[in-house]
Amino acid sequence: MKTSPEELGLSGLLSSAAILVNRFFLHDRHASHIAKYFLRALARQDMIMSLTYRRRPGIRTALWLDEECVSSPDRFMGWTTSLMPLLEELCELAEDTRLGLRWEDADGKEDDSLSTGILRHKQAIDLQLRIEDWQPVVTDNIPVASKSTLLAHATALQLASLLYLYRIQYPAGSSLACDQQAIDMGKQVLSTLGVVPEKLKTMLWPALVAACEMLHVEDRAVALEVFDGVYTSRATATALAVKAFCMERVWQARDREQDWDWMKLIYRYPGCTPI
Amino acid sequence: MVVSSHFVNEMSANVLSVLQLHPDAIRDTLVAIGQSYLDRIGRGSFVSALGSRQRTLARLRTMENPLQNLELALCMFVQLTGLEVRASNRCLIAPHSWFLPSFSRSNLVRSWT
Repeated sequence: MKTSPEELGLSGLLSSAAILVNRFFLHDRHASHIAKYFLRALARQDMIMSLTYRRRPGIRTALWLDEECVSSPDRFMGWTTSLMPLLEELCELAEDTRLGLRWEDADGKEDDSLSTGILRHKQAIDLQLRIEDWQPVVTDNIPVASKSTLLAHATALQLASLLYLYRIQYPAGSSLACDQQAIDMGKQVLSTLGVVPEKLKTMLWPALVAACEMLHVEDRAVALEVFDGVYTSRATATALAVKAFCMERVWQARDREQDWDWMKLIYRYPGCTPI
Repeated sequence: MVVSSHFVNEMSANVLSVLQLHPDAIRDTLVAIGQSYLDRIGRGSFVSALGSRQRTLARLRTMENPLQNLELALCMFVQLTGLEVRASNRCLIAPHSWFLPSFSRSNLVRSWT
């Protein structure tokens, strides 16, 4: 049997972990504090990969989201733990849109494609409002220097999610007006990320979502600085791979007037893991 | 893996608590991650990092009951993803001369059923 790219490398590890975890909670077991700690580390990565590949997360937020991790900054998600259920919904919307699923009503009856479109649009608007309204639960029990990092991290993730949601509804290249709107949204993300390089540790996904939209040389230069900043802070291979994907696949395709939708290109050129 | 360096100590403490119970298992992955950093400055051997990675995967495959020991299993997973995030480096630098042996999910999961 041929192994699909989904089963290899990081994706394979995360989906194996998800199978194990789901099996564990299936039996109504109680996870220890330390197990939950490691679970959150994996859940964050799973969420980012799920957004990137537009699919439902393998590790549901309900399994690890508790009072404690909402009231104090999380080691892996900072102040964004309470944003995760919204990102989970975003993944669901993204998967349904990608698969072109028809909307089903409560009786399981399928609606026609027109009303599916309208309902999905309503769902997107509703989610957009909730992401816009979302605010990080800022806590006092950490040093001031870390505070500004966590706040930038939370804002960047929130803004990038809104841009992502916008692109699910209006894919790259659908109209000049939409592309311009996405550029403006992307610039906001990049300026939020424009903090000192060593603070950019886990911000590769917002950087990717925003950088892919950049068109002008000077804007792209700003995006490259952010990628280099992420690499400086962690020296991870993924930072290099994501930067290369953005430059060589997305920007180049756009410059050659080919399909430059990163959400599709990521399937054609696997290996871009914004973690 | 952590969002800010403020949390590094806590991460270490949690890994240490698992390390105390399962020194062999956790040692392997810690060594592998350490070697991948040394390798970057030209002082380690990535080949031995790979060996540790393979041993950890084998350990996960052969764990008698990963559900009974979720802490250890998840800790190994976190460390393997950390290694994966760092390691594909090598593939980028020399894509033709060196390949990261691919890890297959189906092999791993099959052993749990």
